[in-house]
Amino acid sequence: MSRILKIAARNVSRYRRRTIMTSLLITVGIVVVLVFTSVSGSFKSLMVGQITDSMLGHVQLHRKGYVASLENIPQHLNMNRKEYETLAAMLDASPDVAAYSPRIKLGGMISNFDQTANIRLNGIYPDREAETCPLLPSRIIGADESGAMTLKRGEILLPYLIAQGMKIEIGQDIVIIATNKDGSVNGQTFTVSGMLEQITGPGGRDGYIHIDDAVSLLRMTDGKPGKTGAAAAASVDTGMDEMDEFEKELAAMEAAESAQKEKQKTAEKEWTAEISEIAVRLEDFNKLESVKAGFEVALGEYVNKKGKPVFEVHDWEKLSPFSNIVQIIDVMNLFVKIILIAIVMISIMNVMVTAVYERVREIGTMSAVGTVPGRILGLFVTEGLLLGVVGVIIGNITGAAIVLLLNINRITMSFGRQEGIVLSPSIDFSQMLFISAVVLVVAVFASLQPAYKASKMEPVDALRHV
Amino acid sequence: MKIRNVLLLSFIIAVSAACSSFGMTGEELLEKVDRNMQPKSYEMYKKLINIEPDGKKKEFMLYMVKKDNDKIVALFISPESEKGRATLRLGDNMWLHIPNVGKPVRITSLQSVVGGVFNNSDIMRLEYGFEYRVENMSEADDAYRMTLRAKTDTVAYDRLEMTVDKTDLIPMEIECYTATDMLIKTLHYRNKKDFGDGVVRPSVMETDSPLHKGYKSVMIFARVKSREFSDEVFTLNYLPRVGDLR
Amino acid sequence: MALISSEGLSKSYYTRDIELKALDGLDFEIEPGRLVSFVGPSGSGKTTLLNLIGALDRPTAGRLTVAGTDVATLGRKSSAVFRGENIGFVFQNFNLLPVLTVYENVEYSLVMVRNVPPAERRKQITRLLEDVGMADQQHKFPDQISGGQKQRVAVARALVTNPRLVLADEPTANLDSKTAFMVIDLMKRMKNEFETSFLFSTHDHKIVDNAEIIYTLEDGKITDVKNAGGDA
Repeated sequence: MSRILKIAARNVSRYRRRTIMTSLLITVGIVVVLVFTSVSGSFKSLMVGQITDSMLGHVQLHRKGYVASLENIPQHLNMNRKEYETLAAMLDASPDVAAYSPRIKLGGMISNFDQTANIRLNGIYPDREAETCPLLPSRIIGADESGAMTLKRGEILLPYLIAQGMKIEIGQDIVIIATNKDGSVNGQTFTVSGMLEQITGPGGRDGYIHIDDAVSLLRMTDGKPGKTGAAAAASVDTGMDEMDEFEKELAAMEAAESAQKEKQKTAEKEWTAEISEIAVRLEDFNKLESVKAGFEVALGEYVNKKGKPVFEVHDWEKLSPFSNIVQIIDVMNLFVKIILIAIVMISIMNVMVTAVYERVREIGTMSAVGTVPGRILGLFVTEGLLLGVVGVIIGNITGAAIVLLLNINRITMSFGRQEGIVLSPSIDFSQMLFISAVVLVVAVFASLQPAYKASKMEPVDALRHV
Repeated sequence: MKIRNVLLLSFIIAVSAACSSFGMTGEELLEKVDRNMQPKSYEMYKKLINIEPDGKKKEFMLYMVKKDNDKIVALFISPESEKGRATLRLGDNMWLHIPNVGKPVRITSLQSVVGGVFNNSDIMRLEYGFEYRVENMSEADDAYRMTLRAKTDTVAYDRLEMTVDKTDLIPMEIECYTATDMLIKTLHYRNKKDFGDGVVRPSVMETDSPLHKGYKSVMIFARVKSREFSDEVFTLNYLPRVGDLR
Repeated sequence: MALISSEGLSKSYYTRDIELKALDGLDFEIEPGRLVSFVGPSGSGKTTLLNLIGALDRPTAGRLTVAGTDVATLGRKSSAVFRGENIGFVFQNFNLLPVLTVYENVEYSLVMVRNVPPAERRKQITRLLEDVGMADQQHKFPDQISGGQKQRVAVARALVTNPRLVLADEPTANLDSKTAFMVIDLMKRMKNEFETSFLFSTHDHKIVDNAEIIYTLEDGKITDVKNAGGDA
């Protein structure tokens, strides 16, 4: 074996220029693959991190049909208490869940008493939201730079662009007017405690208020329970004259104007919130697929009277348009690798075909003195392999060096309003090994055909060759 | 010849008898209806009940005052969550004042501060004669039927088909249509009461809409009284103080 | 027992529908330990005959037994093994492997074909190189030595495996007459020392006379057999 190696090595170095050219080609291919995959990989994880950690979370849970109507903020598709508690119980019991944050989504108008504009808001528990989306606090431009997420009742975090457009400053009071589920309208004053940088994707231009403020703004209290429709209609038609009844009520009210306490006050201490969505953060992002599947199975049990599922589960990819970009990057990665393989295959096959052709008489001689066909095959395959090895070694070293250089030079990029995000590409050693192995395997494959041809030559014909 | 004269005379008498009830024009009838429904300047209490298909009810109580043709203020006195809110109507403009909020907010006639089938123009209703002209009038045994056409684009309903009780000259039923002849809602009046001041009118109005299947809204009227107010009452700045009028 | 025996040996080449008979029904026997030469003009079949004897090619008809083996039965692999064990070759064009030194060229068969351990190899190779007078050049590469030197190395290579016979096709064709005689002389010496049979083809009559048995070929047939010395 070592003799074959020695002969192969001598042959490879015999045609110095050819060997260098081929190795160079392979080297360049490997360098491109290494650098591209590490840079795009770091870009991808940065962006994914940005999106999942600043806004979406890893997984979101809704009542079925919510996401399809996401743009409309369908309040009638919010979850009631029982539904929320079902989901919360499942999440609490799961060891894969690191944190989760219930959100009330609402749409309305924001007014600085001068102008009015549309705004979309999330009602959140600040601490839970920060646990679920750890990068959210870093999106806040404003008073509190400590990185903690503070949002008290009566406060609002505004998207920067809206604040800028309406010339609203931190500390200013504004009014939010929201349409309630029954179509009526309610307003509340808020103090602007901070501004948010925008992020691409749905929810990127949402403002945030405390969840209790959302409950009061949307007046999420149950209506007075009534009798069934027909009976209710009947009670309106028959019984005491309605106007007399109304008179009595007015009189009673006037007599004890302040005494009328609505259930509203006690109801506020009770849970009356209707949750729009729950954002979930997993302990291990890489287990996303399996955990999501687990949720779907667990929640599949809950069906409504028509047998249709009550809940729906989405991962961040389904919720963000950026997932398309991620897919494109993955495809490009694949293409670059395919191109590398093509380069290796073509260049080595080319060289080996030429080598065999040039050494036909040598092959005949070797066969004549008794070298078996298998050995001849092995000799040429080893030559091809060596060409690959040289390219791989130089390519890996050069590629690693370039990636290191990129790290030292700190390439930065802008993403939305965020500038100066540092791209820190890293060398994935398993990737490197894998690519090297692939290159070597391809080198062997590429040599096989010409080597086979060589081994199959009839010595008498080969010796006749010029 | 005598028989012919008798016949002719009877015919003339019959026709004039018929004509005598047509002695009133559409406009005159409409004016009578309006007068029976409320004084030009008044205060009244209203109770609004929104009934959802599952029987759930939401009830609101309002105190309303009107002056001239198109100045109205309404104040919520119940439930507690709405108490203190007030709406102002000046012509086609409407505002909502919420006690927490610094400045009143503009609203439109087709929105609804209470939800349900009633919209803001139903709640703060102007006189029919002010918003509509009579396009057609016909007579049946116990009722008049009038077709009313909106005078301007800003009126909520383009056309009303009103059925008026012949004896009391108050509405029994009103169908509200769009310009494309789509029925938006139907108002049903009942429970006639004498509120005094010449106001003898239904105390209960129910409405339903093909656009809100299963939903019903009811309006109950009480203490409809003629009353004069200063112009100041019908300004934005007065809204926080409307309760003082009671 | 004859080293080589043939009966009705024929080899034909077919181009389109034309049959070209290179060898036509040869019958002969060659005893071991002889220096045999095949002479004849170009196209007489000398090279074809040597190729068949060397199991480099297969006969079209007839029987050819070499060192007890019917060469017609050999496949590609088995013929290579057969050659490695029994036959040495010396080519007209020397055919030394250019990437190997003189020493390594001679060593080739011992490593790639026979798998002989290093110490033993060294002994055998060194001895042969001394015999052919190339011991001091053993570290040179083929492109650094002359034609005659190359052929000497080729002879050493051919003998290193102790073959039963060595086949040399026009071994002196590319050499000057002085070197040519030297190589033939070497073959004679080697034959005597190792008792290996040497078969060479040539159309140089000066060389021919050194052989013990001379076969004359013409148009694929043996037309004459001469015994220059020793038994027929």
